[in-house]
Amino acid sequence: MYRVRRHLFLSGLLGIVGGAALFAGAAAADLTSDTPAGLLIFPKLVANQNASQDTIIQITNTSNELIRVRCNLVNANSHCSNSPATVCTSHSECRGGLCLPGWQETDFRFTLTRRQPIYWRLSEGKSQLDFPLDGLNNITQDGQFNEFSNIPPAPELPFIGELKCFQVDENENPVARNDLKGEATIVVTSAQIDAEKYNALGLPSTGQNDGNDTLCLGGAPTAECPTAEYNGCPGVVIVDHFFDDAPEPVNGDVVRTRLTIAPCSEDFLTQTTFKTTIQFLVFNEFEQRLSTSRRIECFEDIQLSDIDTRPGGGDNFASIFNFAVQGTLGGQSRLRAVQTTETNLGHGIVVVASERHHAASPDSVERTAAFNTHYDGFRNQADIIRAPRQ
Amino acid sequence: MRTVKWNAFLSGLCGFAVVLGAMAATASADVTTERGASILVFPKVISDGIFDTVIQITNTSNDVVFARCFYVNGQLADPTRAEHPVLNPPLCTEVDFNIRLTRQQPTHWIVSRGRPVNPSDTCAPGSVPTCVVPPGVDVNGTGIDPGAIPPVGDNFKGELKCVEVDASGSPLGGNHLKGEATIKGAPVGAPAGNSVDVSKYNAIGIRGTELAGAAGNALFLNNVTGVGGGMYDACPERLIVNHFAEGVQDPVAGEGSAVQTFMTFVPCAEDFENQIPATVTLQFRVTNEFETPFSTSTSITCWKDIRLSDIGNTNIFDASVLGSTVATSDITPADIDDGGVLAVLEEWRSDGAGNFARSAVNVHTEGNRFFGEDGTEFDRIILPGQF
Repeated sequence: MYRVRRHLFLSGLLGIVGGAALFAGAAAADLTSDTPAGLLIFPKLVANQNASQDTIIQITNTSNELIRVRCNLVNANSHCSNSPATVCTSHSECRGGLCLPGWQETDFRFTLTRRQPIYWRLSEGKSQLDFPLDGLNNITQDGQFNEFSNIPPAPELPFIGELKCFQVDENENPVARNDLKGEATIVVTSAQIDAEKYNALGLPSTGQNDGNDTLCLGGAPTAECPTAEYNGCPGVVIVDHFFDDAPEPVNGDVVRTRLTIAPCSEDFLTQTTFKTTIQFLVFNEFEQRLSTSRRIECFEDIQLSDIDTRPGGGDNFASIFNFAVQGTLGGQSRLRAVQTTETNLGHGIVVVASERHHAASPDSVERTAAFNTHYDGFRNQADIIRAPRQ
Repeated sequence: MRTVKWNAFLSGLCGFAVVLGAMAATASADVTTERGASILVFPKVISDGIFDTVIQITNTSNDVVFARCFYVNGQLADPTRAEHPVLNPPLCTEVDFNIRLTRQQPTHWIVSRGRPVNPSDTCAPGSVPTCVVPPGVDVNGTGIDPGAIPPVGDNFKGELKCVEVDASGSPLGGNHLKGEATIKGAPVGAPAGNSVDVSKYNAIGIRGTELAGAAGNALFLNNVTGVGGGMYDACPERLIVNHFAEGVQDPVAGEGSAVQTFMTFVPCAEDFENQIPATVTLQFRVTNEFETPFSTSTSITCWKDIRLSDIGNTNIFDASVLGSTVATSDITPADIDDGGVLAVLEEWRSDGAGNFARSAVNVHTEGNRFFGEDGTEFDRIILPGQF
């Protein structure tokens, strides 16, 4: 009987506060990869003609209205200091020069009619005439088509980078709606076909948007961002993974995991970058905890064991992400991007993981599986995306 | 007892009924694939001699967490014959076990072998691919064993549900669990050189509230995020799936390649106590790149893994009919008294040489079954009694 009264009281109390919590609850929700949103982030896009690798990007309008979308494609390739046209991944590829991280943004826009899905290859883009409803040969029954739509190909190959897209109105001003969903599929056809797929990460609109080109993602009010326009980036990113070089239990393949980390804040207006420190807490199946940290600039695609050791496999055995150190196959890593007191940018991050399975033989084909990570908590510091002015 | 609890719920519901009216149209989906939850659903778990599945579950809290887990075998009574509701229905047999995770502990197991409690983790050379000799230790078992996890039987195709409970076994809305499933194998028909492929998806999480467990072993999926008043978050009103047309050429792999999509559905409602499988009829609204709509339907009893082209005895998912490379499908329970469903998608790509590559992905969701347009019913999961 006590329990009954308690629940009646509790239910009534919830009823009273429910209405008050209604909008706050919506605002407190986090990043999402399984519901439509107003701002999409594809943290990992790759194309490499030498490796017969490309990314298929899919975006869908989940509403019954025509919508417009603005996108910013970030080229995160590094280039050699002594040969700026040469894309590199390490200093050793630059023959005496340095491999300098890069960050170059290209923006574009397109229109989606109601419920319309589209796709394009990263290396090819999608011209106006390649859109299904091009306005010349095809229009909808009510005369709509993919007007003002033109998606450029990746600016150079090989390419690695990220894509951010947000919903706008007919004047191309950001709008408080949540009608976008997306997926990325990375396909390799060099030896045997391989594919990995993940959902675009979405930041739902909070229902408020002043329509200017500064997008405010969560956080406490600041002069530049008096109101959160989109949900904030998460406080903690949680990744379950096999430790690097662990024998995968089904058939003994060696497993390694790569993390692709993209920033929530971006200054596309002035094309400037900033550094973020990430703290890693790593737990193994004995509940033993180790930790490390790393500073990243803009974008990082990195194997777990390289987070705390030199790039390459030479000393991976000493990494806290390595099976040789942890002794169990499975682990949990919690990533926390360190907040600062800056008010003109945040340091939130989003992550997508990719598991790579190799057989023991040196000529084995790599098999991959991408997956979305989990999140917890929120950030007091707002993240800010400054889009180029229209 | 259940009636009393239901009245308690109703009284709370009345408190914010007016607000709900405004909320109904915009209520977000409530199940999650990216946050800690109290119920984990792995819709696609395969161990059939060709494919095997590795389950990973993690306690995301700093407290010890307990969970009751349930394998449901959705394999047909006679897998060599087509499904028939009477002559060849899914087995829908259930096996349960308990796990215990210390703070922040991750664990894993292979469904074909389970994970016996074996403190020394000894193994015979060659017995398993993870046997290290010397000293004869199966590294697959290192770590704190979460409990005795049984292997599934031969030819298992079904789902795994895990429910967070307290030390006494009563349901708890702690939202401390997350999980992933990794499916490995080389499809039948693939050439001999086709290496073992891998696909991975996140477990679908159903978040609980402080009212979880208020009705004992009856778990009501009747909560809406941001509103409260229920036990567990409601199942989605709608699944939204972006997919390729069946058999269409992959845009990257080019000539000779083809893409197929398999979807695995499980009803949200489950009665483990009485072993009564739930049935849901699903309506598909398919829109191609030209905004042309198509529709079809199918019914799900207990568990179903189905290729898109086999849905509804129709060809609307075929590339030649759809007329575009990709499409989006809105999937909704057809009847007002149907419960919700959860799903995961797996794409199979073949190249010109017949090699396969698989990639799994979680599907998007929208709305919820309780406060949605058809929201007169909510789903219930009835756990077996604890004697």
